[in-house]
Amino acid sequence: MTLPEPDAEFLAHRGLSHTIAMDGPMTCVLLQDWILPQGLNVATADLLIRLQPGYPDLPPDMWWFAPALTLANGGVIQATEVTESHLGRTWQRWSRHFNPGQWRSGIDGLESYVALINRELVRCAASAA
Amino acid sequence: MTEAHPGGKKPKEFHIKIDRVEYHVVEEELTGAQLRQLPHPPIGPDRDLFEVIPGQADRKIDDTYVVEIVNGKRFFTAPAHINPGHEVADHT
Repeated sequence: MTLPEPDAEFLAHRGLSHTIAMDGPMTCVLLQDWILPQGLNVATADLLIRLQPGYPDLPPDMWWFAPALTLANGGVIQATEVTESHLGRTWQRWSRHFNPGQWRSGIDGLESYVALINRELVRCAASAA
Repeated sequence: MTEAHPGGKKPKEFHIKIDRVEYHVVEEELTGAQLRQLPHPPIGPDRDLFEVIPGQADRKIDDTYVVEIVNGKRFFTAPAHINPGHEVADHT
């Protein structure tokens, strides 16, 4: 699968270190050394986003980090307890789901999804304060 | 966001983009709340507004934050929240 043009532009223009791979029907976008907010157990981790067939009309669902993230105080982050294997690696699954209609086809893409992930990271990290 | 200019001089116009749609504005500064009113329908509270800053992380624009408007400035919106799932019940 070729990424939609806005997604390819997003990755290129931001200079994000990434790889794209197929995993069955899923297109995997792996963002290396993603910078994390303070309040988590590590400063950077690899971020995996899996795009289902039908994307970008259909939204991504969940995302994955390696290594696994916890709060800096050791606390577990809600709905991240499951680990899965993708692309030959073990990943911590962040179980996060949109409400119907929340994803706007034709507008949303990797840019907005990554912004949402960052916001959720900040929200979780702040919960340890 | 256009205004009458009785002096007759055409105001400087700035071209900015929100969610890849171009808007023409004459203001040199706009608050986040004002930027949210540019699209039709306006951007609702269910979405966050971000400014793309080359070479830096995207900046979240709150309603009261004042943005300097320059030609080519780009903004985008994103869902404001997502629901944590249930580890046992949801799909794997």
